[in-house]
Amino acid sequence: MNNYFKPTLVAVGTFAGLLIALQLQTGPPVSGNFPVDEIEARQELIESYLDEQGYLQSRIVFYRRAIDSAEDNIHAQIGISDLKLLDRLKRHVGLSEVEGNGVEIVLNDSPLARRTNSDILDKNLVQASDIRDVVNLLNAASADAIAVNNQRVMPNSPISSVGTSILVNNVHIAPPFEIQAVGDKAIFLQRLLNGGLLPELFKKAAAGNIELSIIDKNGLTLPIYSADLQSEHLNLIE
Amino acid sequence: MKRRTYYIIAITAVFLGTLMIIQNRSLESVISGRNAGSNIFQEIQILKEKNEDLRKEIDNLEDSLGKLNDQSSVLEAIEGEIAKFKKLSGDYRIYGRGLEISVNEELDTTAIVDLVNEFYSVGAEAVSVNGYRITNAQAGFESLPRGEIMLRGQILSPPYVFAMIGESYAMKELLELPGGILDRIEGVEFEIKHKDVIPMN
Repeated sequence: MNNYFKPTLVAVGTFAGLLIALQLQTGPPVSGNFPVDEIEARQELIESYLDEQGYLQSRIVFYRRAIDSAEDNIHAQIGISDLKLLDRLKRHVGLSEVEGNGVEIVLNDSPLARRTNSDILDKNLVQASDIRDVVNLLNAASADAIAVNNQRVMPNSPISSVGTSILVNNVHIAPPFEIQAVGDKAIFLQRLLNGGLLPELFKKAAAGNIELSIIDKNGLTLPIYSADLQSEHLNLIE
Repeated sequence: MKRRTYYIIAITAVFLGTLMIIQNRSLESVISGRNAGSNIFQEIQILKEKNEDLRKEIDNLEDSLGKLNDQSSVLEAIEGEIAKFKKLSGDYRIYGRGLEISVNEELDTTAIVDLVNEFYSVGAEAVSVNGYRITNAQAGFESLPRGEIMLRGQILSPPYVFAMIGESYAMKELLELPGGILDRIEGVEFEIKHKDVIPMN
């Protein structure tokens, strides 16, 4: 027994030492251990901002529609070329609805997951990065327009998360996440069905952590971009 | 002696088991860092600033609508809209002050997608990668077999230079918050510079 005891103890000690060293080198998780009331206050603050955003966005949509109809009524006063230019530019910045055929990708949390009580690391939740990856793939496949849960997504639309809430254009969206794209269906399907382009997503879906479906869709209508268009720091090179 | 030996082995095994669990949990947090590391305070600050931006946008839209309803200022309103959309559309050359972030290492597509997403999230009004502006007609990164990244037909390779036009000091502050994107992409060194003039095509 004594013959084996010392080498075993040395091996165990070395292994423990390695683990301690590895543990010390591992960065601390960023999420902290806040008291419950602080977490609740933080959640309430976020919800109040998100509620306000919903209201502000609906006002923006209202004003953009009012501006569109005002512009339609003043054809006589402005040149046709200016109106055509304005229409073209509006299409390019997402201020026109887009109709056409395309695809719909539906991502949903596992039925076992409860988003309100979960940790962001819960593997059964759809993450903001999953939606970003799908949107990136559709953009690379030359999509004419993309929307997530009826929020038009432009290249400058952030898709992020605050806790377990997912924000698109800084607006809260809830599962199931329906990503619609108008454009060349054949290219979309060829890329979406190539598991190698979305390896993490397919892995999670295959393991049953999340639900994924890809649907061929005709007659889609994607809404106008309803967030702010900041250009304060941009200057045209004449 | 025999009993003492068993005690020592039992205590060591418990200690080792505890260490292994702690280490495994730490690694899980770090490995799934694409989403896990996001700093809640940074996100709250972004939400607050975004609401301010939405209010400003409403003020601008009210102003435009007022001008469109006033016969004498119709042309001014249309010209204002055209000028604004020209800057945003990506069809015209623009410039402005902002930040330039350089990376000498290889980056994969997901890291670039996450970085660009974060730049817009902290207030960038226009972003380019290695001189190619990201626009509606030019968005979507793809990986090539040799590890290069393709942006709608343009091949990008290191060093990657991300340029963003916007309020540079505020953007830098948000990007550098602990737990922000620059922290979450491990093993990569970012060089950040303020720039007075960033041209974009």
